[in-house]
Amino acid sequence: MDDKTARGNRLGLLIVGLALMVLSALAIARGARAFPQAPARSPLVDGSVRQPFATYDPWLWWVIAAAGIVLALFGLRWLLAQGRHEKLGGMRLDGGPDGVTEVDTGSVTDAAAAEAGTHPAIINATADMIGTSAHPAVRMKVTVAEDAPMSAVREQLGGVVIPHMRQALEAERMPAVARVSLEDAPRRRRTLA
Amino acid sequence: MARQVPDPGEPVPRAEPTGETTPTPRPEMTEPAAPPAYGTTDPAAPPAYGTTDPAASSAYGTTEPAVPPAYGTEPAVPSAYGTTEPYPPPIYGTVAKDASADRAAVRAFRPRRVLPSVLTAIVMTLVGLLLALEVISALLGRPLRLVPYDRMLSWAASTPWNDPRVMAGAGLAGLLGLLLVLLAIVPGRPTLIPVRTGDKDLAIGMQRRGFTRSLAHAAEQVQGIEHARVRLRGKAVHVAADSGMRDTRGLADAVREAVNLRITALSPVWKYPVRVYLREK
Repeated sequence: MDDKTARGNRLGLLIVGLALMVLSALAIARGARAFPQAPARSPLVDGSVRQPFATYDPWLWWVIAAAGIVLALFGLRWLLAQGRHEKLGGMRLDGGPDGVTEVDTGSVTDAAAAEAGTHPAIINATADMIGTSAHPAVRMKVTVAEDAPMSAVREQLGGVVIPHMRQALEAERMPAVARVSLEDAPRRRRTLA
Repeated sequence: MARQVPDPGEPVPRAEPTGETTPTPRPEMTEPAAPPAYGTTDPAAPPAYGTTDPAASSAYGTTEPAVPPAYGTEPAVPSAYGTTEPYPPPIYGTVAKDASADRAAVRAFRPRRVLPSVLTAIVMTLVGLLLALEVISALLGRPLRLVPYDRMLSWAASTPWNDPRVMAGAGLAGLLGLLLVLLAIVPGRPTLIPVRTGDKDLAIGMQRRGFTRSLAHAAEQVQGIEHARVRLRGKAVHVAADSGMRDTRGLADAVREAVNLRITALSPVWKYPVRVYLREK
């Protein structure tokens, strides 16, 4: 799941929603006698609907079949996009005169997760690369002690972990999204504090 | 309450290692027996421990260069000075408000409308598939007839446009369309609470449950509070706290202060006003 999917979802919902609204508005308008040349009392299917099917006999049906296939393909494509993670397994780096170097992002993300975990406030961390070699991004899941300040997480990620990843992958930018779950670290008992 | 997790990289308004610019005179030059002023962390000072402080020399020996600091860059005060004064409570730096970074953080955790999209996509796929199958099979001379379209056609040929059923169906479809359009354009409540980072390229979001639980625990650490429950009502924090004390004067304020302090530490993008409901015994 990524930003592209989220945008696509909203666009798809908007198009389908607008299409439904327009069709329903036209049908209601017809029923409410808004079109003088198309009487509201005439049936849904009458001569004016049958006529084109008779005129373009097999062709119109083939066009309708093609439209159905296109609709189904769009639906399928939309459905499959929900599972898209765009996880980036390897990255190509420009390696100077020798050409390109292929880097396994798994080692980089493992190192990043381990480095994030060295901060006492961070209980656990995982990282994944997404995007493309030219525009990599990182998604992290971080478990943080609930009484730690968020500035600790912010500085460990933004000040240490992500700059190191940028350095390792020679990336100018490395947009990061971290999902933090706050966990009740074993607290000092009130009676002892 | 003493924080368990010191923050190494945090700008703290305590005496920082300022190197040679420290105005405090070196202890060994002026007054050999006196411990240096609390908080001086002149890097040149530690090697002098052994020669200036007899207690320290027995503890660490004369060659001990420095007491290793407990955490990263935390200016640790060696226990050899005999001070029992606790650290001042750390004040955590807050990030200046950066509207574009805040917007990016909110955007990163907007709902992605997966469920309505999946449902719409499934209906689209099925309708398209059914349409194509029926038409093609009929064109090839072997109609599938999964849909009773003969009856549908005769119904449509005898039902006028202004039939109430037709109007109701069209209205229903229009409402469904409106719902989808609203789902598309209404931003929606973020799935996680965005944290202020001041950095457009770093979006941090925390789970709502963890956030409220953390605030409840902060409230429970107030003396006199036995149990607290926190709920988010919109963008307000409602704290329901049980107290076992008879005299609860000032307790609600103390709870509010504790919760506000925790909110500041967790630094969400939005302001969360705190309301405390105290239940007494």
